[in-house]
Amino acid sequence: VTGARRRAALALALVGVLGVTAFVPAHAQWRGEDSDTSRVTPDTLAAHARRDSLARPAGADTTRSPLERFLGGLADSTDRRFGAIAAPVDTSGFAAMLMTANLDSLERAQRRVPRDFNPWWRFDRTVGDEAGLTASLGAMGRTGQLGGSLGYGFSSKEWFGRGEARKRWGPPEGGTRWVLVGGAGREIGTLDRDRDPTLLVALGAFLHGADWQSYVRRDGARLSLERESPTLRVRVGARSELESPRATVTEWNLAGDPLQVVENTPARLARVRELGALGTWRLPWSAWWIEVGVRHAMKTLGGDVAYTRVRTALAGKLGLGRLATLVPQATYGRTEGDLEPQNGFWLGGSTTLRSITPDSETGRRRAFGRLELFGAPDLLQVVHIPHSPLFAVYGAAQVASGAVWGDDPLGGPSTPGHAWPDPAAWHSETGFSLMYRPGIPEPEGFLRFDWATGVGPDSHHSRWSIQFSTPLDQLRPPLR
Amino acid sequence: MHAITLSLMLTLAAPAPAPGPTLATEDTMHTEVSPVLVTAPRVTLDEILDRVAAGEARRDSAMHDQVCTAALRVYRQGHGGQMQLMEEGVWRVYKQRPDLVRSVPLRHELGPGVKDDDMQADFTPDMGERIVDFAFQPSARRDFRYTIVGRDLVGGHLVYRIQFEPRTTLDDVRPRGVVWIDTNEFVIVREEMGFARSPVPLFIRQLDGLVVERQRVDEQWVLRRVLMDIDLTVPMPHVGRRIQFGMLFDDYAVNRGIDPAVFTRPGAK
Repeated sequence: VTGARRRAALALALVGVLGVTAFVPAHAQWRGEDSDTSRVTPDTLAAHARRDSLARPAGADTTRSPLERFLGGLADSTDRRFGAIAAPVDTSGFAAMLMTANLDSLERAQRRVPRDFNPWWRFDRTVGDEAGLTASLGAMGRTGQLGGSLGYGFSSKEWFGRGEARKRWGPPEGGTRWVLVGGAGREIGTLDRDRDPTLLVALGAFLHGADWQSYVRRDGARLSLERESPTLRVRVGARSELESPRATVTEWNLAGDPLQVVENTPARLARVRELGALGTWRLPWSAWWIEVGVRHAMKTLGGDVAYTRVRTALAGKLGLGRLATLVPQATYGRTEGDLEPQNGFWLGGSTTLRSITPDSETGRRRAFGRLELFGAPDLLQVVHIPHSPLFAVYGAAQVASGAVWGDDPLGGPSTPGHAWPDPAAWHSETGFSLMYRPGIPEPEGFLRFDWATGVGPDSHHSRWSIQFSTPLDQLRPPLR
Repeated sequence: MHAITLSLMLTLAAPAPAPGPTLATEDTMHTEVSPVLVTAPRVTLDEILDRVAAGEARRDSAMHDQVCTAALRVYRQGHGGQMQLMEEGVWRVYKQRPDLVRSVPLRHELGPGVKDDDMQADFTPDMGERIVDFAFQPSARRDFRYTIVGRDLVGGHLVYRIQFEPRTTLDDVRPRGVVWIDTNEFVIVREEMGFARSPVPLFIRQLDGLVVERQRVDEQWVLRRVLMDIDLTVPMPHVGRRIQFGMLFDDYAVNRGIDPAVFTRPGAK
């Protein structure tokens, strides 16, 4: 065999090999260049077109690094998935615009002050229907925001309103941010300081008179500064408000039912000068939170009452695989000094013992604990009821125990106990919940149907209730 | 023709193969190397997560100033299901440590039939890009569960793919997804996210297409695109049943210094 013939045979064999390699996947190794073992196939690596293993691929982008080409391949698939919105920004003319125009004039041309307004409504038996408007001007994260609300109570024939200035430093979500809020006005709040008026309670009162809460009117000014980070939230504040008792002014409701509770437990008329601090700390490397809140009212600043109210809470969120989450929570609170209905501790209702009528027991001190198991499976799916995944229903089961003791702020007999209650003061319960998660107003919140029954020798009461709450409902929500 | 004939002759003249597997002759390898078992400590997932947190922090602290062109886009479903522009805004954004930021609007465009311009962009001086590393910050480790799902050898870079998901079932309203981590710098270079369950089922049917891309500019990894595809539960007026959001960043200049006059206009932070 001559040398010429050897070369011809080699050429023929090479043609055959190339015929095979034409079908080699794009991520084939590429000796002398980047070796890519990715299972993802970057589109921009045209490795399959190479003529031999030592040469650069035909048409390869040699101006970018292998990693950039790899990411470029993934970006190409993103382009195909999203379409036009992923197209590069047309920046033509921007450079000239920035060179020739004044930045201030560019800004002025499109400068707008954010503004917002919304109608609002609420209902309770001490005001009746109350409707009004909220409005805000500006953005909290820029120059600050001015906002306020104004409404009229149609049964009590009173105006309510509040003006506020709000300023935030830092990102709106995540990171560390500071929020300063100051305002003054007149509004209705709940007698229980550990609970806020909710739309669900207002709806229950409006539809069929189901409202067990008691209300107080607060006139005055408040100032608070909060620092929030992923692990620590600290809030300090001060308020100077006149707290006034309320009386029931309407027994009307849409269904015409008798009110569940007619009398509104009266607050003591008092001017309160109060300093407050609240700290919520996520324990390092754990799924536990600790919260301590202190309110200190003084007569030296012109107040009518002097007290120190302390509340502590411990809460955890413990994942049990993909089936359930266990949420233990415990709180302990005490009020030293002048004891009034509006600074005492209350027991009963959705935020504490659900089997007891809301706000039916009160005292100078309170201890409460709950262990709740939240199931992950969609219950409708479990029982094979056809439904949209958007209407998934979840279940939860709980056991809880709590007690209030010490002096009664309403003037009744004291419940025995000092730092800890007498065993007879404890109430215990168990129950279950069916829940739906609408995602608003709180992403983590559930609209829940709760049923609870007392356990123990003298606890045979049962109640069902509807509420909207987050799983860690013993922790106070951050300022928004 | 001669070559083909020669090839056939060579093939036919070859001796019959022995039974068993046939090995091709390696014409480029003239020595045999006996196998050597190599043992080396393997980087654990925890170590990777530690290094990612450190890498992201290093990336953040390495930037003193940043200028870029940022575009915010909203697309809606048009006639025939085609996605069409609803609104687009473009800004030139100037950031400088510790707390200086200024955004200058360059263009604002409304799609066909759109009358209200609702777009508001609020840029912060922070260059940390939390949308990229929120699940990999040290404080987030207790909230997410992580799994290594793949490794890609790209040139001299080993790129880890790490999946993250909420640690408890109550946190299903938080996103889950996969990040690509370049282990040369332990920086996240790409992220794909979604939600196991819709975070707002009353309005959003599905939100499982969220892509975050980074690019390397001036020796730093910075945001390139954030794209989001949302299926709505019920059709919304003027929007339809599907909406897309996009944030695109381009024309970066990192650590090149910014004229102080940029931040000295009245009202500048």
